Amino acid sequence: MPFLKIENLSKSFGGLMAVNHVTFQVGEGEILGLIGPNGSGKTTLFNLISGFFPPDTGSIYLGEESLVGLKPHQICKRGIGRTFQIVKPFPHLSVMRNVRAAVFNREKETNRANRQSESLLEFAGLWSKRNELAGSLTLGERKQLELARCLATQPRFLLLDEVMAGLNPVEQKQMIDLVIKIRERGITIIVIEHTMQIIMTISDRIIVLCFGEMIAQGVPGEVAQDPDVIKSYLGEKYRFV
Amino acid sequence: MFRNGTPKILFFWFAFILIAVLLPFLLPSYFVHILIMILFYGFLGTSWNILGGYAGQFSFGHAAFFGIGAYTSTLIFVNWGISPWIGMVFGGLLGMLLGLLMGSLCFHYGLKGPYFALATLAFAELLRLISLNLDLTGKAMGILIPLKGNALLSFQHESKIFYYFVILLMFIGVLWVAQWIDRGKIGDYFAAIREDEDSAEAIGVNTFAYKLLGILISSFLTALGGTFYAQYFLYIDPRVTFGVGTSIEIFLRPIVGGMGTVYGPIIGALVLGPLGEVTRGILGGYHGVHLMIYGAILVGVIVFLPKGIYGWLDGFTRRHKW
Amino acid sequence: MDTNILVQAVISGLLMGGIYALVAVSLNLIFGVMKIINFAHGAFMMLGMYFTYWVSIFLDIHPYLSLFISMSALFVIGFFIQYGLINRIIEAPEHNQLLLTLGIALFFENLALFLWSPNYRMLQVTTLAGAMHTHKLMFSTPRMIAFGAALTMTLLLYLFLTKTDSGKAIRAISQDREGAHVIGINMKIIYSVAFGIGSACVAAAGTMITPFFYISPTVGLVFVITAFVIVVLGGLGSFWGAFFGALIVGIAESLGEVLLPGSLKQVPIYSIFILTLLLRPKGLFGKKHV
Repeated sequence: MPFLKIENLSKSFGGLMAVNHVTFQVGEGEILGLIGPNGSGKTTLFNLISGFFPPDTGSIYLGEESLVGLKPHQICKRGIGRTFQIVKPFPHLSVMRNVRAAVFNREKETNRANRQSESLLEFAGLWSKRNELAGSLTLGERKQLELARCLATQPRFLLLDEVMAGLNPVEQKQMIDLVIKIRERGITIIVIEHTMQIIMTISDRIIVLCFGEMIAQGVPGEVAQDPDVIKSYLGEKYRFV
Repeated sequence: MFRNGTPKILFFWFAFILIAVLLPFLLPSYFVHILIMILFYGFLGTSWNILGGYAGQFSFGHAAFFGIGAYTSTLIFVNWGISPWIGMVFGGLLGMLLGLLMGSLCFHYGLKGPYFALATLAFAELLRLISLNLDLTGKAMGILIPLKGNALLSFQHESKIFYYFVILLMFIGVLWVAQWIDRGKIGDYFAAIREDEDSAEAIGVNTFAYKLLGILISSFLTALGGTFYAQYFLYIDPRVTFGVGTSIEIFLRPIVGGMGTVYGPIIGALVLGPLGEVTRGILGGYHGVHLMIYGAILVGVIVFLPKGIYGWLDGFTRRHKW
Repeated sequence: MDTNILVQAVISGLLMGGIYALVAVSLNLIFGVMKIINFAHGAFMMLGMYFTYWVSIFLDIHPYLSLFISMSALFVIGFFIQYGLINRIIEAPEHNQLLLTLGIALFFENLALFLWSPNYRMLQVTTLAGAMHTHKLMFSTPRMIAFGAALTMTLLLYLFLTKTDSGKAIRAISQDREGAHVIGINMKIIYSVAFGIGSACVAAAGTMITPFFYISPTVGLVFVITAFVIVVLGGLGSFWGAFFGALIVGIAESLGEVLLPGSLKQVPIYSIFILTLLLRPKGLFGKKHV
């Protein structure tokens, strides 16, 4: 059975349909790419799945269980983690404490939580910054922190919202490696990205949104040739291999 | 506080306790009163801080819990002769109930920041108006607690030293609660809520439940302080219990000393207490004149030391806050 | 209950509502422009009242003649408070700004207490005093004049904001801070002017009620809390919301006074306040800008 099943999902804001009857599935262990021009509803879709907004219509199933109506922290408990397009670390807390707060989702005891946080920081390459205040990190480091925090909640499913945006090529390479390491741990991922090259290389499948509607889905090769997709990107900056 | 267990810390605590125990016997009564007031506001400030500083939910209406505690134990004592010690517990529970009501309403409807602050203010004012008009609470005249002389079981004594030790123990107790919260899961969750609620939710924090926990703990403790006040001054009325002035005095110490830190409130109390007394001495009689200086200090702290005195010292010594 | 009493209550409520309107609208201006919840608003009203009191007694003139003095004085005070203090923390978290204005309020209220004692003072006005009587209803002359004056001032403020260049600059900032900055409007000065104007208006409200209202250091607190209730009810940032909210609250308070014993008259107001905060924090007219 599909790991995540989205059926007929819709959400409008004041008359504007941000997400319009979207239907797709994600298999366990997949990396699904989610692309589309700005304003096509990608982040809104993430917000719906992670419980920050309730959908107007449609269903979201994680395995057998419906996620509709659950609050974000409940969805996190069920194993779905997400990052935010504009990173939201806890600015006045240390990097260590940022991660530990997330670790407490699964671990009650402080000493064990400390140890888990430390190993996560090493995994994410942030060990040397553990006592810095999160607000003083560079953008790349903050994105790594957000990812580490996400992982601390031991998700089976990750929603990554433009983790590459604003990073220089070196940082991007590090981030890609991190994403692949995460997949190797068996975590299913939906990735939103603008950089075509990245999306094409790491995704198993891709779905394309435009004005809230899904206009294409399939393996990267197919989607790249799809005329509707190409049309929707005319006038949009992109790098394409 | 206790996590390192290094000899330095233990020595500090031993010295502190020694001094604290000896002090009231060595000082004249007036100074003992000042110490009591410092510990009293340190107690209240630390209680407020759990909700306001740690969890970031700024309350302008803590007088509501304070007053409930004061009136509950007082009415139980005056009308049924039940010891204020027991009344204190009931007061705490009733205060907690009020906290539950206020918290559930405000947090369910997502009130934050200034809106939450104003709502708590409105609640406190409602209680003040009600107590001003109820015969049960003595209306504007308030309630005088009958003198029982040296009656420890009735929470009364002619000497201030008794009250000193009571408030000292209460303060140490609340300080322990505060540091226990601060260094564990609850502390991290409160901090997360304070920093960014959405982000906190995304990492699995039930923000509603934890904010509610914050107000429950805070309201219970604050109500206990109300009983102490009643028994120390032996007189309560709607203004000193539920008034805006009381709410202000409660949160002023944590802000000046450093919100969100364990020792901020007592630092604030140590600064404002003597300052208030000196001001009263210089500027004379009218009740509340010391607030003029407090107002100026508040302005100064907000503009120049937004992290409070503790935060300023902390930055000074270049330690990163954990 | 005698309908006469109720109608009378509605009338006095309406008259007082006009005063509340001026207070609320000027509070709203400050919030709309700088997103600051100004606790010191009531203290400034109180200062206006005291200035009027002293000038009136010293020069032996009708309090309304001191309007210019109280307004100018508070404009200057407000201007420099914004310029010197509040401007420094404009980027700070909201509750810091709330605390700053609270500190300022505390300072001034207790300064007044120290200088002038807590005793209530009243001005005895002989001209334009008394009342008019029609249809078994009494219309207190000073209150009617105050009502008219307050309405006039409110209207002037509205015209200033909508028709003059400075007024439009102020509204531009309230609608889009960065945009206004980009086209070269000097933010600091505009903020200070706006704060000064808001303070001058509330001082004017204070002056206007001196013929019939008691003067004391704490009088401001009651007004500022009522003003908050009004502004939240009417929608933070909405001029007309504050205006009509004020009239509604004035009437509600007045009716509360006849229907409820003692000081319980404020209970309906606080209750409405809490309900509004919970259910419709955007107020009845909820808009974002002045």
